[in-house]
Amino acid sequence: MSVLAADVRHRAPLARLTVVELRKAVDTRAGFWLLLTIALLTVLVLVLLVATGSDWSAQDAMALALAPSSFLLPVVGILLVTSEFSQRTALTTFTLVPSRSRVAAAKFLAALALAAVTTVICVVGAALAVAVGGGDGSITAGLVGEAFAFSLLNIAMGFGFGILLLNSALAIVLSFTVPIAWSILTEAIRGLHGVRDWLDTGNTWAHLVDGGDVQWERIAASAALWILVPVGLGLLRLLRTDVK
Amino acid sequence: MRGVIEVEQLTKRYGAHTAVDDVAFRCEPGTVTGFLGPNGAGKSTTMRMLCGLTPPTSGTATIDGRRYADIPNPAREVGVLLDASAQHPGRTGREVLTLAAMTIGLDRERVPELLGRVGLDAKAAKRRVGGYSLGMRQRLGIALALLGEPRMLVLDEPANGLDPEGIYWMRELLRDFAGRGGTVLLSSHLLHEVEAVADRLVIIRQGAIIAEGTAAELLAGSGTVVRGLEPDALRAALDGAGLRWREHRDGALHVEAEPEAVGRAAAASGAVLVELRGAERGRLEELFLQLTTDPATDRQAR
Repeated sequence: MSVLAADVRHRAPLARLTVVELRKAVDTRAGFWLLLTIALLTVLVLVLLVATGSDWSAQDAMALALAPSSFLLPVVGILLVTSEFSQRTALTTFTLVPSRSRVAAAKFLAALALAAVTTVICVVGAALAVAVGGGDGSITAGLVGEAFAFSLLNIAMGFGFGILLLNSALAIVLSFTVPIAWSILTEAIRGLHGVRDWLDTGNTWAHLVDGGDVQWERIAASAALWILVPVGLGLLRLLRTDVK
Repeated sequence: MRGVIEVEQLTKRYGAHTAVDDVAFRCEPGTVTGFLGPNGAGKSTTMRMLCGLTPPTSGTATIDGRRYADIPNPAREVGVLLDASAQHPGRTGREVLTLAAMTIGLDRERVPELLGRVGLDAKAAKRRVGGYSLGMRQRLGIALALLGEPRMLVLDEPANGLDPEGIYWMRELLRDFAGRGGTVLLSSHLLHEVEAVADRLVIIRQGAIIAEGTAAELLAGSGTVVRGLEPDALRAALDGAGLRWREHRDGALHVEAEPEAVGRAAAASGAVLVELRGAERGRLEELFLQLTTDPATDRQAR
Protein backbone atom coordinates (compact mmCIF):
# COMPACT_ATOMS: atom_id res chain seq x y z
CA MET A 1 0.00 0.00 0.00
CA SER A 2 3.07 2.20 0.15
CA VAL A 3 2.65 3.40 -3.43
CA LEU A 4 -0.76 4.84 -2.72
CA ALA A 5 -1.31 8.51 -2.22
CA ALA A 6 -2.26 9.64 1.26
CA ASP A 7 -5.71 10.89 0.38
CA VAL A 8 -7.09 7.72 -1.15
CA ARG A 9 -9.63 7.20 1.62
CA HIS A 10 -11.17 10.56 0.87
CA ARG A 11 -13.68 11.29 -1.80
CA ALA A 12 -12.41 12.50 -5.13
CA PRO A 13 -12.09 16.29 -5.41
CA LEU A 14 -14.32 17.82 -8.09
CA ALA A 15 -11.29 19.07 -10.03
CA ARG A 16 -9.96 15.52 -10.36
CA LEU A 17 -13.32 14.19 -11.50
CA THR A 18 -13.52 17.00 -14.06
CA VAL A 19 -10.11 16.06 -15.46
CA VAL A 20 -11.29 12.45 -15.74
CA GLU A 21 -14.41 13.57 -17.60
CA LEU A 22 -12.34 15.69 -19.98
CA ARG A 23 -10.18 12.69 -20.69
CA LYS A 24 -13.24 10.53 -21.33
CA ALA A 25 -14.44 13.12 -23.84
CA VAL A 26 -11.35 12.71 -26.00
CA ASP A 27 -10.10 9.15 -25.40
CA THR A 28 -12.50 7.48 -27.85
CA ARG A 29 -12.52 7.89 -31.62
CA ALA A 30 -16.01 9.39 -31.63
CA GLY A 31 -15.21 11.98 -28.98
CA PHE A 32 -11.81 12.85 -30.42
CA TRP A 33 -13.08 13.30 -33.97
CA LEU A 34 -16.12 15.28 -32.88
CA LEU A 35 -13.90 17.85 -31.19
CA LEU A 36 -11.34 17.83 -33.98
CA THR A 37 -14.15 18.32 -36.51
CA ILE A 38 -15.28 21.44 -34.68
CA ALA A 39 -11.76 22.85 -34.81
CA LEU A 40 -11.22 21.90 -38.46
CA LEU A 41 -14.58 23.29 -39.60
CA THR A 42 -13.88 26.52 -37.73
CA VAL A 43 -10.56 26.90 -39.51
CA LEU A 44 -12.14 25.93 -42.82
CA VAL A 45 -14.95 28.50 -42.74
CA LEU A 46 -12.47 31.23 -41.79
CA VAL A 47 -10.11 30.27 -44.59
CA LEU A 48 -13.03 30.39 -47.02
CA LEU A 49 -14.04 33.78 -45.65
CA VAL A 50 -10.56 35.21 -46.13
CA ALA A 51 -10.17 33.61 -49.54
CA THR A 52 -13.52 34.46 -51.04
CA GLY A 53 -15.27 37.03 -48.90
CA SER A 54 -15.46 40.69 -49.59
CA ASP A 55 -16.56 43.58 -47.42
CA TRP A 56 -16.81 41.69 -44.16
CA SER A 57 -16.36 42.83 -40.58
CA ALA A 58 -14.70 41.39 -37.50
CA GLN A 59 -18.22 40.73 -36.25
CA ASP A 60 -18.93 38.62 -39.35
CA ALA A 61 -15.70 36.66 -38.88
CA MET A 62 -16.55 35.94 -35.26
CA ALA A 63 -20.11 34.82 -36.11
CA LEU A 64 -18.83 32.55 -38.87
CA ALA A 65 -16.12 31.08 -36.67
CA LEU A 66 -18.76 30.18 -34.09
CA ALA A 67 -21.14 28.56 -36.58
CA PRO A 68 -19.66 25.02 -36.55
CA SER A 69 -19.42 24.90 -32.78
CA SER A 70 -22.94 26.25 -32.35
CA PHE A 71 -24.17 23.08 -34.09
CA LEU A 72 -21.72 20.59 -32.65
CA LEU A 73 -21.08 21.78 -29.09
CA PRO A 74 -24.57 20.72 -27.94
CA VAL A 75 -23.73 17.23 -29.23
CA VAL A 76 -20.52 17.24 -27.19
CA GLY A 77 -22.55 18.24 -24.13
CA ILE A 78 -25.10 15.51 -24.79
CA LEU A 79 -22.55 12.73 -25.30
CA LEU A 80 -20.68 13.63 -22.13
CA VAL A 81 -23.71 12.35 -20.22
CA THR A 82 -25.46 9.90 -22.52
CA SER A 83 -22.44 7.87 -23.64
CA GLU A 84 -22.22 6.55 -20.09
CA PHE A 85 -25.65 5.01 -20.61
CA SER A 86 -25.44 3.95 -24.25
CA GLN A 87 -22.09 2.25 -23.57
CA ARG A 88 -23.14 1.21 -20.05
CA THR A 89 -20.01 2.64 -18.51
CA ALA A 90 -22.27 4.31 -15.93
CA LEU A 91 -22.06 1.03 -14.06
CA THR A 92 -18.32 1.55 -13.50
CA THR A 93 -18.50 5.32 -13.12
CA PHE A 94 -21.11 5.28 -10.37
CA THR A 95 -19.50 2.32 -8.66
CA LEU A 96 -16.26 4.29 -8.39
CA VAL A 97 -18.04 7.55 -7.49
CA PRO A 98 -21.41 6.81 -5.88
CA SER A 99 -22.27 10.50 -5.61
CA ARG A 100 -24.06 10.96 -8.91
CA SER A 101 -24.52 14.69 -8.42
CA ARG A 102 -20.73 15.08 -8.16
CA VAL A 103 -20.24 13.11 -11.35
CA ALA A 104 -22.87 15.29 -13.03
CA ALA A 105 -21.15 18.44 -11.73
CA ALA A 106 -17.80 17.21 -13.07
CA LYS A 107 -19.36 16.51 -16.45
CA PHE A 108 -20.93 19.97 -16.51
CA LEU A 109 -17.60 21.61 -15.68
CA ALA A 110 -15.90 19.46 -18.33
CA ALA A 111 -18.52 20.63 -20.84
CA LEU A 112 -17.84 24.27 -19.99
CA ALA A 113 -14.10 23.68 -20.28
CA LEU A 114 -14.49 22.09 -23.72
CA ALA A 115 -16.68 24.98 -24.87
CA ALA A 116 -14.05 27.40 -23.60
CA VAL A 117 -11.32 25.62 -25.57
CA THR A 118 -13.28 25.65 -28.82
CA THR A 119 -14.14 29.29 -28.28
CA VAL A 120 -10.46 30.14 -27.86
CA ILE A 121 -9.90 28.50 -31.25
CA CYS A 122 -12.77 30.55 -32.71
CA VAL A 123 -11.49 33.81 -31.24
CA VAL A 124 -7.88 33.24 -32.30
CA GLY A 125 -9.05 32.10 -35.73
CA ALA A 126 -11.32 35.10 -36.19
CA ALA A 127 -8.57 37.49 -35.06
CA LEU A 128 -6.12 35.93 -37.51
CA ALA A 129 -8.70 36.12 -40.27
CA VAL A 130 -9.27 39.80 -39.58
CA ALA A 131 -5.52 40.48 -39.49
CA VAL A 132 -4.76 38.50 -42.65
CA GLY A 133 -7.89 39.12 -44.65
CA GLY A 134 -8.41 42.72 -43.76
CA GLY A 135 -11.88 42.59 -42.25
CA ASP A 136 -13.40 45.80 -40.99
CA GLY A 137 -12.93 46.65 -37.35
CA SER A 138 -11.28 44.38 -34.80
CA ILE A 139 -12.12 41.55 -32.43
CA THR A 140 -13.10 43.55 -29.36
CA ALA A 141 -13.29 42.36 -25.77
CA GLY A 142 -17.05 42.62 -26.11
CA LEU A 143 -17.11 40.26 -29.08
CA VAL A 144 -14.88 37.79 -27.25
CA GLY A 145 -17.06 37.84 -24.15
CA GLU A 146 -20.20 37.29 -26.19
CA ALA A 147 -18.55 34.44 -28.07
CA PHE A 148 -17.70 32.69 -24.82
CA ALA A 149 -21.20 33.26 -23.43
CA PHE A 150 -22.73 31.86 -26.63
CA SER A 151 -20.61 28.70 -26.61
CA LEU A 152 -21.09 28.04 -22.91
CA LEU A 153 -24.86 28.45 -23.23
CA ASN A 154 -24.92 26.13 -26.23
CA ILE A 155 -23.00 23.29 -24.62
CA ALA A 156 -24.95 23.71 -21.39
CA MET A 157 -28.17 23.29 -23.33
CA GLY A 158 -26.82 20.08 -24.88
CA PHE A 159 -25.85 18.86 -21.43
CA GLY A 160 -29.42 19.56 -20.28
CA PHE A 161 -30.94 17.49 -23.09
CA GLY A 162 -28.43 14.72 -22.36
CA ILE A 163 -29.03 14.50 -18.62
CA LEU A 164 -32.79 14.77 -19.05
CA LEU A 165 -33.08 12.03 -21.69
CA LEU A 166 -30.05 9.80 -20.89
CA ASN A 167 -30.15 8.55 -24.48
CA SER A 168 -27.72 9.73 -27.17
CA ALA A 169 -29.88 9.44 -30.29
CA LEU A 170 -33.02 10.83 -28.72
CA ALA A 171 -31.19 13.73 -27.09
CA ILE A 172 -29.36 14.70 -30.29
CA VAL A 173 -32.51 14.63 -32.40
CA LEU A 174 -34.62 16.55 -29.89
CA SER A 175 -31.88 19.10 -29.19
CA PHE A 176 -32.02 20.07 -32.87
CA THR A 177 -35.74 19.81 -33.49
CA VAL A 178 -37.37 21.10 -30.32
CA PRO A 179 -35.72 24.55 -30.31
CA ILE A 180 -36.48 24.96 -34.02
CA ALA A 181 -40.11 23.89 -33.57
CA TRP A 182 -40.33 26.31 -30.66
CA SER A 183 -38.94 29.13 -32.81
CA ILE A 184 -41.43 28.44 -35.58
CA LEU A 185 -44.33 28.16 -33.16
CA THR A 186 -43.57 31.35 -31.27
CA GLU A 187 -42.92 33.21 -34.50
CA ALA A 188 -46.06 31.99 -36.25
CA ILE A 189 -48.51 32.70 -33.47
CA ARG A 190 -48.82 36.40 -32.88
CA GLY A 191 -49.92 35.95 -29.29
CA LEU A 192 -46.65 34.17 -28.52
CA HIS A 193 -44.35 36.94 -29.69
CA GLY A 194 -43.72 37.99 -26.11
CA VAL A 195 -42.66 34.42 -25.38
CA ARG A 196 -40.46 34.43 -28.47
CA ASP A 197 -38.68 37.62 -27.43
CA TRP A 198 -37.74 36.17 -24.07
CA LEU A 199 -37.65 32.39 -24.41
CA ASP A 200 -36.61 31.60 -27.98
CA THR A 201 -32.86 31.06 -28.03
CA GLY A 202 -32.93 31.84 -31.75
CA ASN A 203 -33.95 35.33 -30.70
CA THR A 204 -32.16 35.82 -27.40
CA TRP A 205 -28.86 33.92 -27.49
CA ALA A 206 -28.51 34.40 -31.24
CA HIS A 207 -27.97 38.12 -30.75
CA LEU A 208 -24.72 37.28 -29.00
CA VAL A 209 -23.27 36.49 -32.42
CA ASP A 210 -25.46 38.09 -35.06
CA GLY A 211 -24.76 41.65 -34.09
CA GLY A 212 -28.30 42.13 -32.80
CA ASP A 213 -29.26 43.83 -29.57
CA VAL A 214 -27.79 41.74 -26.72
CA GLN A 215 -30.26 41.77 -23.83
CA TRP A 216 -28.83 39.85 -20.92
CA GLU A 217 -32.07 39.58 -18.95
CA ARG A 218 -33.66 37.84 -21.96
CA ILE A 219 -30.61 35.63 -22.40
CA ALA A 220 -30.92 34.64 -18.75
CA ALA A 221 -34.64 33.94 -19.12
CA SER A 222 -33.98 31.64 -22.06
CA ALA A 223 -31.19 29.97 -20.14
CA ALA A 224 -33.59 29.29 -17.28
CA LEU A 225 -35.99 27.50 -19.61
CA TRP A 226 -33.50 25.71 -21.85
CA ILE A 227 -30.74 24.94 -19.32
CA LEU A 228 -31.90 25.23 -15.70
CA VAL A 229 -35.16 23.35 -16.13
CA PRO A 230 -33.76 20.34 -18.06
CA VAL A 231 -30.61 20.15 -15.94
CA GLY A 232 -32.67 20.30 -12.75
CA LEU A 233 -35.17 17.68 -13.87
CA GLY A 234 -32.38 15.59 -15.38
CA LEU A 235 -30.44 15.67 -12.14
CA LEU A 236 -33.48 14.45 -10.23
CA ARG A 237 -33.86 11.66 -12.76
CA LEU A 238 -30.17 10.75 -12.64
CA LEU A 239 -30.20 10.54 -8.85
CA ARG A 240 -33.10 8.10 -8.88
CA THR A 241 -32.45 6.07 -11.98
CA ASP A 242 -31.69 2.38 -11.82
CA VAL A 243 -28.19 2.01 -13.28
CA LYS A 244 -28.01 -1.30 -15.12
CA MET B 1 -11.16 -2.18 9.78
CA ARG B 2 -13.34 -5.21 9.38
CA GLY B 3 -14.84 -6.04 6.01
CA VAL B 4 -18.35 -7.24 6.65
CA ILE B 5 -20.95 -7.13 3.91
CA GLU B 6 -24.44 -7.27 5.29
CA VAL B 7 -27.72 -7.44 3.44
CA GLU B 8 -30.89 -7.10 5.50
CA GLN B 9 -34.50 -7.54 4.40
CA LEU B 10 -33.61 -6.27 0.97
CA THR B 11 -36.57 -6.06 -1.39
CA LYS B 12 -36.91 -4.68 -4.91
CA ARG B 13 -40.19 -4.48 -6.75
CA TYR B 14 -40.65 -3.42 -10.35
CA GLY B 15 -44.36 -2.74 -10.54
CA ALA B 16 -46.11 -5.96 -9.66
CA HIS B 17 -42.95 -8.01 -10.16
CA THR B 18 -40.84 -8.70 -7.09
CA ALA B 19 -37.27 -9.12 -8.31
CA VAL B 20 -35.73 -9.45 -4.86
CA ASP B 21 -37.85 -10.54 -1.93
CA ASP B 22 -36.71 -9.95 1.64
CA VAL B 23 -33.16 -11.12 1.04
CA ALA B 24 -30.72 -11.25 3.96
CA PHE B 25 -27.21 -12.64 4.29
CA ARG B 26 -23.85 -11.71 5.70
CA CYS B 27 -20.33 -12.09 4.34
CA GLU B 28 -17.46 -12.31 6.84
CA PRO B 29 -13.79 -11.42 6.42
CA GLY B 30 -11.64 -14.34 5.38
CA THR B 31 -14.48 -16.10 3.60
CA VAL B 32 -15.79 -16.56 0.11
CA THR B 33 -19.57 -16.48 -0.17
CA GLY B 34 -21.09 -18.06 -3.25
CA PHE B 35 -24.33 -16.40 -4.33
CA LEU B 36 -25.99 -19.08 -6.34
CA GLY B 37 -29.15 -19.18 -8.37
CA PRO B 38 -30.51 -19.59 -11.86
CA ASN B 39 -30.48 -16.67 -14.31
CA GLY B 40 -33.08 -14.08 -13.42
CA ALA B 41 -33.26 -15.16 -9.78
CA GLY B 42 -32.34 -11.69 -8.49
CA LYS B 43 -28.59 -12.05 -7.95
CA SER B 44 -27.58 -9.07 -10.09
CA THR B 45 -30.35 -6.87 -8.73
CA THR B 46 -29.24 -7.69 -5.19
CA MET B 47 -25.63 -6.85 -6.04
CA ARG B 48 -26.59 -3.60 -7.76
CA MET B 49 -28.57 -2.60 -4.67
CA LEU B 50 -25.54 -3.46 -2.53
CA CYS B 51 -23.44 -1.09 -4.64
CA GLY B 52 -25.94 1.77 -4.60
CA LEU B 53 -26.77 1.53 -8.30
CA THR B 54 -30.35 0.36 -7.88
CA PRO B 55 -32.48 1.97 -5.20
CA PRO B 56 -34.08 -0.76 -3.05
CA THR B 57 -37.82 -0.74 -2.44
CA SER B 58 -37.07 -1.57 1.18
CA GLY B 59 -34.33 -3.01 3.34
CA THR B 60 -30.65 -2.14 3.60
CA ALA B 61 -27.31 -3.30 2.34
CA THR B 62 -24.21 -2.18 4.21
CA ILE B 63 -20.44 -2.41 3.98
CA ASP B 64 -19.00 -2.31 7.50
CA GLY B 65 -22.19 -0.67 8.68
CA ARG B 66 -22.29 2.05 6.02
CA ARG B 67 -24.32 2.25 2.87
CA TYR B 68 -22.10 1.92 -0.18
CA ALA B 69 -23.04 5.44 -1.29
CA ASP B 70 -21.75 6.81 2.02
CA ILE B 71 -18.24 5.41 1.57
CA PRO B 72 -16.00 8.32 0.51
CA ASN B 73 -13.81 6.35 -1.91
CA PRO B 74 -15.48 2.94 -2.17
CA ALA B 75 -13.03 1.41 -4.65
CA ARG B 76 -10.43 1.45 -1.86
CA GLU B 77 -12.65 -0.79 0.26
CA VAL B 78 -14.80 -2.81 -2.11
CA GLY B 79 -13.72 -4.03 -5.50
CA VAL B 80 -16.76 -4.39 -7.72
CA LEU B 81 -17.34 -6.23 -10.98
CA LEU B 82 -20.98 -6.20 -12.01
CA ASP B 83 -20.84 -6.63 -15.78
CA ALA B 84 -17.61 -7.18 -17.65
CA SER B 85 -19.30 -6.22 -20.92
CA ALA B 86 -20.25 -2.77 -19.66
CA GLN B 87 -17.15 -1.01 -21.00
CA HIS B 88 -16.75 1.43 -23.85
CA PRO B 89 -15.65 -0.69 -26.83
CA GLY B 90 -13.48 2.15 -28.12
CA ARG B 91 -11.22 2.34 -25.07
CA THR B 92 -8.18 0.16 -24.62
CA GLY B 93 -7.88 -2.06 -21.58
CA ARG B 94 -5.16 0.17 -20.26
CA GLU B 95 -7.26 3.30 -20.77
CA VAL B 96 -10.16 1.78 -18.81
CA LEU B 97 -7.87 1.13 -15.86
CA THR B 98 -6.13 4.49 -16.21
CA LEU B 99 -9.45 6.34 -16.00
CA ALA B 100 -10.40 4.33 -12.92
CA ALA B 101 -7.01 4.93 -11.29
CA MET B 102 -7.35 8.67 -11.89
CA THR B 103 -10.90 8.67 -10.54
CA ILE B 104 -10.00 7.01 -7.28
CA GLY B 105 -6.76 8.94 -6.91
CA LEU B 106 -4.27 6.15 -7.44
CA ASP B 107 -0.91 6.22 -9.12
CA ARG B 108 -1.33 5.28 -12.79
CA GLU B 109 2.00 3.46 -12.61
CA ARG B 110 0.16 0.52 -11.11
CA VAL B 111 -1.89 -0.10 -14.23
CA PRO B 112 0.60 -2.14 -16.33
CA GLU B 113 1.53 -4.32 -13.36
CA LEU B 114 -2.13 -4.96 -12.59
CA LEU B 115 -2.91 -5.86 -16.20
CA GLY B 116 -0.09 -8.39 -16.06
CA ARG B 117 -1.44 -9.79 -12.83
CA VAL B 118 -4.78 -10.64 -14.44
CA GLY B 119 -3.11 -12.16 -17.48
CA LEU B 120 -3.55 -9.33 -20.00
CA ASP B 121 -0.20 -8.81 -21.70
CA ALA B 122 1.15 -5.53 -23.10
CA LYS B 123 -0.35 -6.28 -26.49
CA ALA B 124 -3.81 -6.95 -25.07
CA ALA B 125 -3.57 -3.83 -22.91
CA LYS B 126 -3.18 -1.68 -26.01
CA ARG B 127 -6.14 -3.23 -27.80
CA ARG B 128 -9.61 -1.75 -27.71
CA VAL B 129 -12.03 -3.52 -25.39
CA GLY B 130 -14.42 -3.96 -28.33
CA GLY B 131 -12.01 -6.57 -29.67
CA TYR B 132 -11.74 -8.48 -26.38
CA SER B 133 -13.24 -11.90 -25.79
CA LEU B 134 -15.64 -12.19 -22.87
CA GLY B 135 -12.89 -13.94 -20.93
CA MET B 136 -10.53 -11.00 -21.48
CA ARG B 137 -13.24 -8.58 -20.41
CA GLN B 138 -13.71 -10.58 -17.23
CA ARG B 139 -9.99 -10.35 -16.56
CA LEU B 140 -10.10 -6.59 -17.16
CA GLY B 141 -13.09 -6.39 -14.82
CA ILE B 142 -11.18 -8.29 -12.15
CA ALA B 143 -8.26 -5.88 -12.59
CA LEU B 144 -10.69 -2.99 -12.17
CA ALA B 145 -12.02 -4.56 -8.97
CA LEU B 146 -8.52 -5.15 -7.59
CA LEU B 147 -7.23 -1.70 -8.58
CA GLY B 148 -7.91 0.06 -5.29
CA GLU B 149 -6.44 -2.78 -3.20
CA PRO B 150 -9.78 -3.34 -1.48
CA ARG B 151 -10.55 -5.61 1.47
CA MET B 152 -13.76 -6.83 -0.11
CA LEU B 153 -14.74 -8.07 -3.54
CA VAL B 154 -18.23 -8.14 -5.03
CA LEU B 155 -18.22 -10.03 -8.33
CA ASP B 156 -21.26 -10.83 -10.45
CA GLU B 157 -20.78 -13.93 -12.62
CA PRO B 158 -17.02 -13.39 -12.92
CA ALA B 159 -16.41 -16.85 -14.33
CA ASN B 160 -18.70 -16.25 -17.32
CA GLY B 161 -16.68 -16.63 -20.50
CA LEU B 162 -13.51 -17.80 -18.78
CA ASP B 163 -11.90 -20.96 -20.05
CA PRO B 164 -11.10 -23.79 -17.58
CA GLU B 165 -7.62 -22.39 -17.02
CA GLY B 166 -9.15 -18.97 -16.35
CA ILE B 167 -11.66 -20.41 -13.91
CA TYR B 168 -8.84 -22.17 -12.07
CA TRP B 169 -6.83 -18.93 -12.02
CA MET B 170 -9.72 -17.00 -10.57
CA ARG B 171 -10.44 -19.65 -7.98
CA GLU B 172 -6.83 -19.39 -6.77
CA LEU B 173 -7.00 -15.61 -6.79
CA LEU B 174 -10.18 -15.54 -4.70
CA ARG B 175 -8.93 -18.19 -2.25
CA ASP B 176 -5.72 -16.21 -1.84
CA PHE B 177 -7.70 -12.98 -1.36
CA ALA B 178 -9.86 -14.57 1.34
CA GLY B 179 -6.81 -16.31 2.82
CA ARG B 180 -5.31 -12.90 3.52
CA GLY B 181 -8.43 -11.84 5.39
CA GLY B 182 -10.45 -10.43 2.51
CA THR B 183 -14.20 -10.82 2.07
CA VAL B 184 -15.52 -12.16 -1.21
CA LEU B 185 -19.08 -12.27 -2.52
CA LEU B 186 -19.39 -13.86 -5.93
CA SER B 187 -22.43 -14.92 -7.85
CA SER B 188 -22.93 -17.68 -10.35
CA HIS B 189 -25.69 -19.64 -11.96
CA LEU B 190 -23.38 -22.65 -12.22
CA LEU B 191 -22.79 -24.70 -9.12
CA HIS B 192 -19.44 -26.15 -10.17
CA GLU B 193 -18.00 -22.64 -10.55
CA VAL B 194 -18.54 -21.75 -6.92
CA GLU B 195 -18.57 -24.98 -4.96
CA ALA B 196 -14.79 -25.36 -5.16
CA VAL B 197 -14.08 -21.83 -3.95
CA ALA B 198 -16.94 -20.84 -1.65
CA ASP B 199 -16.95 -21.36 2.12
CA ARG B 200 -20.59 -20.52 2.30
CA LEU B 201 -23.38 -20.77 -0.19
CA VAL B 202 -26.43 -18.53 -0.41
CA ILE B 203 -28.96 -20.00 -2.81
CA ILE B 204 -31.59 -17.73 -4.30
CA ARG B 205 -34.62 -18.58 -6.41
CA GLN B 206 -37.28 -16.24 -7.74
CA GLY B 207 -35.91 -13.39 -5.65
CA ALA B 208 -35.94 -15.24 -2.32
CA ILE B 209 -33.21 -17.07 -0.46
CA ILE B 210 -34.11 -20.73 -0.19
CA ALA B 211 -30.99 -22.19 1.41
CA GLU B 212 -27.91 -20.82 3.10
CA GLY B 213 -24.93 -22.28 4.87
CA THR B 214 -21.56 -23.94 4.47
CA ALA B 215 -21.34 -26.64 1.87
CA ALA B 216 -21.04 -29.14 4.73
CA GLU B 217 -24.18 -27.81 6.39
CA LEU B 218 -26.13 -27.95 3.18
CA LEU B 219 -24.93 -31.46 2.60
CA ALA B 220 -25.33 -32.88 6.09
CA GLY B 221 -26.74 -36.38 5.86
CA SER B 222 -26.05 -36.72 2.18
CA GLY B 223 -24.59 -40.19 2.55
CA THR B 224 -21.52 -42.05 1.36
CA VAL B 225 -20.38 -43.67 -1.86
CA VAL B 226 -18.50 -46.92 -1.31
CA ARG B 227 -17.09 -49.63 -3.52
CA GLY B 228 -15.80 -52.99 -2.36
CA LEU B 229 -13.31 -55.41 -3.89
CA GLU B 230 -15.93 -58.11 -3.47
CA PRO B 231 -19.35 -56.51 -3.80
CA ASP B 232 -21.20 -59.35 -2.09
CA ALA B 233 -18.99 -59.16 0.99
CA LEU B 234 -19.51 -55.39 1.23
CA ARG B 235 -23.27 -55.69 0.87
CA ALA B 236 -23.30 -58.31 3.62
CA ALA B 237 -21.17 -56.08 5.85
CA LEU B 238 -23.52 -53.14 5.38
CA ASP B 239 -26.59 -55.27 6.00
CA GLY B 240 -24.92 -56.69 9.08
CA ALA B 241 -24.32 -53.17 10.43
CA GLY B 242 -27.93 -52.20 9.70
CA LEU B 243 -26.99 -49.52 7.12
CA ARG B 244 -29.40 -48.77 4.26
CA TRP B 245 -27.89 -48.76 0.80
CA ARG B 246 -28.77 -48.78 -2.85
CA GLU B 247 -26.66 -49.78 -5.80
CA HIS B 248 -25.54 -47.31 -8.48
CA ARG B 249 -25.48 -48.37 -12.09
CA ASP B 250 -21.66 -48.44 -12.03
CA GLY B 251 -21.64 -50.92 -9.16
CA ALA B 252 -20.81 -48.44 -6.38
CA LEU B 253 -23.11 -48.42 -3.37
CA HIS B 254 -24.75 -45.30 -1.98
CA VAL B 255 -25.09 -45.71 1.77
CA GLU B 256 -27.26 -43.52 3.97
CA ALA B 257 -24.58 -43.01 6.59
CA GLU B 258 -21.40 -41.03 7.18
CA PRO B 259 -18.17 -42.44 5.66
CA GLU B 260 -16.83 -43.32 9.11
CA ALA B 261 -19.77 -45.63 9.89
CA VAL B 262 -19.41 -47.33 6.53
CA GLY B 263 -15.66 -47.77 7.00
CA ARG B 264 -16.18 -49.28 10.46
CA ALA B 265 -18.79 -51.72 9.17
CA ALA B 266 -16.45 -52.85 6.41
CA ALA B 267 -13.49 -53.18 8.76
CA ALA B 268 -15.51 -55.19 11.27
CA SER B 269 -16.44 -57.77 8.64
CA GLY B 270 -13.09 -57.72 6.85
CA ALA B 271 -14.53 -56.45 3.53
CA VAL B 272 -11.86 -54.70 1.44
CA LEU B 273 -12.79 -51.24 0.18
CA VAL B 274 -11.45 -49.69 -3.00
CA GLU B 275 -13.37 -46.46 -2.72
CA LEU B 276 -14.95 -44.59 0.18
CA ARG B 277 -16.12 -40.98 0.01
CA GLY B 278 -18.89 -38.62 1.01
CA ALA B 279 -21.57 -38.36 -1.66
CA GLU B 280 -21.21 -34.56 -1.71
CA ARG B 281 -20.50 -33.72 -5.31
CA GLY B 282 -23.47 -35.40 -6.81
CA ARG B 283 -25.58 -34.54 -3.83
CA LEU B 284 -24.83 -30.83 -4.00
CA GLU B 285 -25.78 -30.74 -7.65
CA GLU B 286 -28.95 -32.58 -6.88
CA LEU B 287 -29.68 -30.19 -4.04
CA PHE B 288 -29.07 -27.17 -6.24
CA LEU B 289 -31.36 -28.45 -8.96
CA GLN B 290 -33.99 -29.43 -6.44
CA LEU B 291 -33.81 -26.04 -4.75
CA THR B 292 -33.79 -23.94 -7.87
CA THR B 293 -36.14 -25.68 -10.23
CA ASP B 294 -39.81 -25.48 -9.66
CA PRO B 295 -41.71 -27.87 -11.91
CA ALA B 296 -44.64 -25.46 -12.14
CA THR B 297 -42.62 -22.42 -13.28
CA ASP B 298 -40.46 -24.63 -15.45
CA ARG B 299 -43.49 -25.61 -17.43
CA GLN B 300 -44.68 -22.01 -17.53
CA ALA B 301 -41.38 -20.83 -18.93
CA ARG B 302 -41.74 -23.15 -21.90
